[in-house]
Amino acid sequence: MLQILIALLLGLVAGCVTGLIPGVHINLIALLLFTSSAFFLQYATPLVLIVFIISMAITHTFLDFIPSIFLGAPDDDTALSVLPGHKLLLKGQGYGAIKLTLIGSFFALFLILVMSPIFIFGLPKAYPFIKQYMAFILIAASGFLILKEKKSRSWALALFLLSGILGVATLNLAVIRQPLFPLLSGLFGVSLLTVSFLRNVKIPAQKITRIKIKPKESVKALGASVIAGPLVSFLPGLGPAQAAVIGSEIAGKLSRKGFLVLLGAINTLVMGLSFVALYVIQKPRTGAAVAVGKLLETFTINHLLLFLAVVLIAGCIAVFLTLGFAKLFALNIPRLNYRYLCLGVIALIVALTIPLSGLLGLLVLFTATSIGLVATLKRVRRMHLMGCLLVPVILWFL
Amino acid sequence: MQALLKVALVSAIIGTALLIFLSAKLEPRLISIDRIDVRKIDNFVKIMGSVTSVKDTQSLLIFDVKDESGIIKVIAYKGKEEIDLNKGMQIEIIGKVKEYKGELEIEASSIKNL
Repeated sequence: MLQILIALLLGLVAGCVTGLIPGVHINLIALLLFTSSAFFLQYATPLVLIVFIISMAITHTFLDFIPSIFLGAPDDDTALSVLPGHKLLLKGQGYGAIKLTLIGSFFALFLILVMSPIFIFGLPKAYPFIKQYMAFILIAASGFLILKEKKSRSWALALFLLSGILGVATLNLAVIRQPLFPLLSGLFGVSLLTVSFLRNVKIPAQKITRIKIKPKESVKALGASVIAGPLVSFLPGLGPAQAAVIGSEIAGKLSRKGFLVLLGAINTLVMGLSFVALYVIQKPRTGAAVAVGKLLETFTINHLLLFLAVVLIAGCIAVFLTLGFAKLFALNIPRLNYRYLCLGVIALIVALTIPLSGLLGLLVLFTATSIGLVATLKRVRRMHLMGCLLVPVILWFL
Repeated sequence: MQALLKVALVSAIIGTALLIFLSAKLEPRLISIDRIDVRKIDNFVKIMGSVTSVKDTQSLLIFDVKDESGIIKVIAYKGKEEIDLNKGMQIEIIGKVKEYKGELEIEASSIKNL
């Protein structure tokens, strides 16, 4: 019991570190942990290691909005493609934006508990049907999102396909390690940071206040997350941003604030439900679930109950940790030279790419960054760049 | 920013084309079976050896490959190309290392008859 509690606390600390490092995805950390599990298993049982991974993964889903909102903000010229969080940051409300994602993430903890029995009873019946039509469902979802891009549909389609070809080529490269790190960091991280750097963005002083949101709007966002969360849990390759757009379409137009609540909810919901999906259909849909599945020989309902308790406890503590770090970022980011900060983060991602993925990883990072830059400069929403995963997944299922 | 857009677009196309070329040309280094461990999970490897057993299922071929250092299970999905394997054949496999039920195996992406 004591070991489990210590693992939970250490997971919280690790989740803060991985969540605050820009560009580092929890899947990568979970995979690195699994590959070094032989070392850790000398000191702890598989169950203790799993509690650590779950605690870290859930904490990460709360914290990772801090670097994504406070870093990489573009200037007004790219306003159309600015993410809702960046818009609030440029108005001095970055802290409030984090608080909105926290509303979503916090209530998602309870939605996970409510939705688990539905998953346990409904998923075994629904999954075989979904699997049979997976490629067509993914093509329909991608097509729907491209058609939603009113002003630049042809660019959205071209960038979806180009990132898809890049994804296929990168994932088929037989000599690269961790291909996803440079691929996703380039498309979604370095490209935005480069624009921030080149355009010399100035971040205004940040207010430590909360942003008012109508309860009705929050409820609507949480309702949309109930539709969108399972979408990402079943459908490989779809990211939270795409699920959020689909969810908000189904639930009715959401305001920018509501969208942030929705994003927070989906992020945490998908992670929590991935452990339930692993129990029910033995398919891991997140890197953390992959690691859990590999460490656990038999997955019983008692294990699931323990894991859900870890999700709940870690999530509740993560709320306070996120508030603390968000305040720290909000007070200090405007004082720093934003250009150098962005340059520093780019250098960090490049420096991590070399040991993780080798020199070929740098070529992938450079190419992915170029595609991300085209999307930003052409004001196309970057979620279409998830084609890098969707196209390989669609080809696999066809 | 128009110039940057042009540079980014050209880099994106050239980079993607180069990666397509490299993914078709580059092969992992040949290693002996005993060097395949958990650190190789999700990485591509190339091995050479003889087939010691073959199990044919509806969608999969499951077979064991042996070299002088050890033996490993290999799975190959059917459907895209015909695979003709017999016991005793000398083959070269390129594939990703996977873990299934606590055992390491290779998911073959290319099988060459030597």
